[in-house]
Amino acid sequence: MTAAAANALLLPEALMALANLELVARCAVEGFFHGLHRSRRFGFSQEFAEYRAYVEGDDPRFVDWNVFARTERTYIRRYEGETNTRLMIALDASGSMGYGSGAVSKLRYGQFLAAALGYLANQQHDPVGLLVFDAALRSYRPPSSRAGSLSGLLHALEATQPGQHTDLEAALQPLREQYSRRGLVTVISDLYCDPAALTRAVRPLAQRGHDILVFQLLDRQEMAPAWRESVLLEDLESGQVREVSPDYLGAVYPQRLRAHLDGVRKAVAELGAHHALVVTDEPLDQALRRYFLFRQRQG
Amino acid sequence: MWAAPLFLLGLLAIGLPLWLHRFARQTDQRRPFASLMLIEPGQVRRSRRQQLRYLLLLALRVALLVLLVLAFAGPLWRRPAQAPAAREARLHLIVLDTSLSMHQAGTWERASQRATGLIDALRGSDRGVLIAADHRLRVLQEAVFAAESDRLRVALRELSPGASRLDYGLVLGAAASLASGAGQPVVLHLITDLQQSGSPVRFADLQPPPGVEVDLLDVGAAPAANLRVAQLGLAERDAAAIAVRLDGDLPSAVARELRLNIDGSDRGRRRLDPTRAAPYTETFSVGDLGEGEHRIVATLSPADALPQDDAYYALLRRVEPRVLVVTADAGGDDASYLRAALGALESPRLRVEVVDVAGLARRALTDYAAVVVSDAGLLGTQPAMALQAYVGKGGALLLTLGERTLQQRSVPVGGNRVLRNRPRDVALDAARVAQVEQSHPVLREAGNWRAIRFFRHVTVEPREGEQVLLRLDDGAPLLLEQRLGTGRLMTLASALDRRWNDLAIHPQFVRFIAEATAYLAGSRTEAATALVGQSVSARLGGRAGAQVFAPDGRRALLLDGTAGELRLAPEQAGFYEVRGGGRSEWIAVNTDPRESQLLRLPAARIAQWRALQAPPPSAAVAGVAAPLPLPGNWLPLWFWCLLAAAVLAFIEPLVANYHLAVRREQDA
Repeated sequence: MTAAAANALLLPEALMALANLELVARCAVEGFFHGLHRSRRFGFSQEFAEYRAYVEGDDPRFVDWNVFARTERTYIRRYEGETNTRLMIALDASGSMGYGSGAVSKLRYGQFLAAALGYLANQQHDPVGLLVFDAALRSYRPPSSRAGSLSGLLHALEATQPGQHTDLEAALQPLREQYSRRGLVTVISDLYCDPAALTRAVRPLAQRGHDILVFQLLDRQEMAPAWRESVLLEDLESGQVREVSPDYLGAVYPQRLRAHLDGVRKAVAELGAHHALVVTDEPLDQALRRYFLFRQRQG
Repeated sequence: MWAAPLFLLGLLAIGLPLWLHRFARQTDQRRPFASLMLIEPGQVRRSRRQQLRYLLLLALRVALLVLLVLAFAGPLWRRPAQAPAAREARLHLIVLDTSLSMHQAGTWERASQRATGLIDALRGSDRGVLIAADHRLRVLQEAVFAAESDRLRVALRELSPGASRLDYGLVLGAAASLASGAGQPVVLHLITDLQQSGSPVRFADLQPPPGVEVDLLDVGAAPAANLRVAQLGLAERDAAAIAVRLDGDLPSAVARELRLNIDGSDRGRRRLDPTRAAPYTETFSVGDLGEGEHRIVATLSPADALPQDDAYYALLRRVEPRVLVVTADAGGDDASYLRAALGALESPRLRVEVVDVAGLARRALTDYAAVVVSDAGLLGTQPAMALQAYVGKGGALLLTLGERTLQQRSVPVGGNRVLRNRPRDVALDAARVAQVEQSHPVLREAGNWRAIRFFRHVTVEPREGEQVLLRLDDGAPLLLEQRLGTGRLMTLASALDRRWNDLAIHPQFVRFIAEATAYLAGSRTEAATALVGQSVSARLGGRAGAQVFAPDGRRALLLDGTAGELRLAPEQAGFYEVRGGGRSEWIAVNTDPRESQLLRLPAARIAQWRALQAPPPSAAVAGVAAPLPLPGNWLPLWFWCLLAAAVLAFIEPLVANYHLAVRREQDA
């Protein structure tokens, strides 16, 4: 596969044509790595790093049976970059995530991103969990690296449909209470909420030492509305309808959006977390690239 | 009510903007959006304003269509019933007598003051019309309300009396048409000197028309002496003298002088005896004036109460018309008879030349005032055509019909069909004249035509439009007259021969031939005279480039008459000059002598006139006060609809452009 062909496969429209999320995740991740030319720059590698003695509780799959045959000692193979990071993916499945001006909605894009991150973590034998929420917690899969856990995660993602409005505080409440081991929490949402509410929802996680990466997904039409005449806009969550003039969409709305994004960035920065704004017509590797940059910074 | 209700079907066109706006609104269907969190509520108000703009544009377009349809349908608005105060509003026809007699000292000033008083008395809802009345009625200012009465005053200031005559019957007769369509009661204020000669022939003509109240305003003064020249012409028994006839109603206390001016030079003065009762005649011996047209002016001085009639203008034509007699034999009996008869005429004195048919071709016919042909049958084709052309261009021809005509199927000139000829017995079977048209100038002093015996005559069939002046007892026409082109043709259906009749031995013969020839020749020589305000033929007007100049040197206005003839309506006394066709002629115009009679209507007559009440208004006039749905009460509104549509048509693009400008900014 050429680099150009691999990059083309990372386009959301191309990924939409694939049959299931597992295939999407594999294409996305492998295409992404193909594009990286196996650079170590991002601190990720499947290369052998060291052996260590097997202790109870280790996964027997990682026992180097060749060494055991020669030495009758059990050793576990360790690889570089393997840090046993627990990844929890929190996917917003509110009604607003169901919006998409093109072929891919924000929720679908979030599913792609979550699948790719899950696949990537699974490849690294990292436990990966999934939390789907809108106004409340809709489904929760605790992090696991066992065989079959990825399939379960992808299946759960596949079954996710847009729901009600967003309530981050209420939705992340179980996560704050149950997810105590330090790990990486990735929030995928359009963040149509008060930045203060975001702070209140995420701050307890940050205080527990979780590394937090917030992917904010927005549609191109949300970033720069292209309507040239007055339109009646219907809120996908509340059903409320407002007629909006082109002059407002062209002048006032961008200012208000910019102010909202600044508020979100400021709130995330205050939490020590990382914010990544992703527009859903961008190739998926852009989001993955930010993920690896984030991982690299986290060491 | 609508003038053209079918146009209301055009209201269906309103569906077009409604459909277009609905179609446009359908493009504003709901679009899903992630969240309206960033759309401020104030935007809703802004959108409503935009909706209002849409609705305003729609309303403008619908209103524009409706107004256009209404303008074509012609809505009529019935005026509401008038308030009691408004019912008293009237249309005041202020008619000023501007006839010649109003020049009498102080009369016109009084008339102007009365007119000004009437204008000042107009109330807010009254309307006033200013009319000048003399030989015609001129509306100087159309109906205006009291608020615009200055226009009446301006028109009054520019008005002055003229030189023509006023007939009160004319004013009352025209009042009906002036009052028609007024939509309110009409009062006719007639400001006049109540001159007796202005009274119509029938007193009933002074009856006010229905719905018109007549207000007689007498501004006349006591009758003053007004001696005037009534007539001027050659003296009866002296061709070298001019007779001036003077007339007047009252004896003058002042001695006056009569001057006679011929062709610009004084030819005599005569001091008049103030005690002499008019009418009387003064004669001036002027000698031989010579041939040609002479302009004569008789003037009285010093000026009296009405100086405008102190001059009298007359034209005198001293000519000796040439008459050509065509016979078969220049020495024949008929030639002798004709020469003798024509030579006996004194006024006009005729110069007679006798030729045979061969000699006719050598003569320039246009040099002759009249041509007499003895027995038209002797004319060949060429002479007949020449005479026909001569008459057609204004010549005069007298034909007698004799033996040679009987051999023709028709009379060579004029074309009358020859029907039959039946010789009669000289003693027993002579025909006699049975019918005489005595109103004709030739036969006015006809004498005893019945004494003449006609043994033979040529029975001809009168042509259409031809007048039979004499008719025999068997019904056959004996003397006929017809117009050919601009000339005249007279035909005597018998010969100047004793075998045909004994006309030649009767005194009647000389008189008839002389009168007929003079009449025919006179048609080209009579002087033109007219009265001020009277239509007169400008006979040269038929020719290209004809112009008429008034006595003051200005070009006069000509009126189109019948058969392309131009007519002149002179408005001042004096000599009018008619130029055209390389020559010029004069028309003497005098004031109407009736206007010079300053006697006033008797008081009893005035009282009778004032007592004449207008008959009850007819249905057409009764509607003025009654709220009946008459056409005059319906006010057409189409103009206002069209005006409003024009205003909307101007506003609509502005609103539409403002609305569309937002989209264009976004496109950019």
